[in-house]
Amino acid sequence: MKIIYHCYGGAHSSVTAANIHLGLLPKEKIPGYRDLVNQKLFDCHQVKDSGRITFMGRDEAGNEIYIVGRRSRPSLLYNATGGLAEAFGIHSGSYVLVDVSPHVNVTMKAGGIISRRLGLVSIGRPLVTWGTLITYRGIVQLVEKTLKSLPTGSFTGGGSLVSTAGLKV
Amino acid sequence: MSLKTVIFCSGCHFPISIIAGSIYMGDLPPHFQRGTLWNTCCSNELYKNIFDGGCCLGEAPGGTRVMAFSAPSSAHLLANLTGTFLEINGISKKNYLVVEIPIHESPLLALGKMLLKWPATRPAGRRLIEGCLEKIYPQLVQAIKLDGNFQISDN
Repeated sequence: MKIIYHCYGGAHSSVTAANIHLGLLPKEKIPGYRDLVNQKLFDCHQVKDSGRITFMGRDEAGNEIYIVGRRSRPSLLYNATGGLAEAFGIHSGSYVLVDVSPHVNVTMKAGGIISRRLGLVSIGRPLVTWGTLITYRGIVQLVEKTLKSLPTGSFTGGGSLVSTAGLKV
Repeated sequence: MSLKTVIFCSGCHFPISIIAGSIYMGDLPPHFQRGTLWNTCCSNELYKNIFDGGCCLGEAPGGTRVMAFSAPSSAHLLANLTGTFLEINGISKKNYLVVEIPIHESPLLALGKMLLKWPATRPAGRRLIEGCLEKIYPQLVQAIKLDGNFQISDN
């Protein structure tokens, strides 16, 4: 199964969620500042990468984990993927869309804009990392909720019995 | 084997991807005609329902399926999204082509679309939209010639 974490820019909250899912960040405790800054693809996506679904890795169950930035249009992501899946015969239960944006706080938004849009990384990155540390537990809960919602024994390429496409976790 | 598909993505308030798709399919002529354009693309509910999603317009004479996606200021996002979503699901690039319509947001088109909402302002909205579309129509035809020349081998 494909699990696609999405947020506004696909650079911070969805990356953090994906790395928690993959076990690259801890679930039990809040990581340090350096751990967050050094995680794979954190604060990397540019505006031109909006909509680009990026592969992050495979979890223990073999699920493929992806991230995507969809700006302020979650409905666009849900509708476009749904329409494409229908047109191309892609099994609607073969992917899950997980919205991480409810866990994005004001500090993350401000830091994200300063770092990604204005290009002032030295100011924006510490701010967005600090914001991520504040909301970290919420993102962990979201990932755990996602893991619980997955059909047991889901694996890549297999169609699940339960349709979870477009699931808002 | 899945049907070969051309996917048009536009980022204007008015869904010009439908017009591009209709020109590609041959439903609209390569030269601007007010009445034909309005009756084909604008008088039905199709253009209202396309936002934040997509629609299948039909098949071109060559047997290629044509899809249109549109969302204000999001042509690039849509093009990235459709391309990568199909890629991660194992759809071969030989079977689809994503065409990003290189026409930017026009405030007049947005205004025209807004005016269509009320019966009293509908004629003015239609006139405004037709005027804008007349200007961009050659660009649409050119975009389809450049990018939509979709020849795929069955191999």
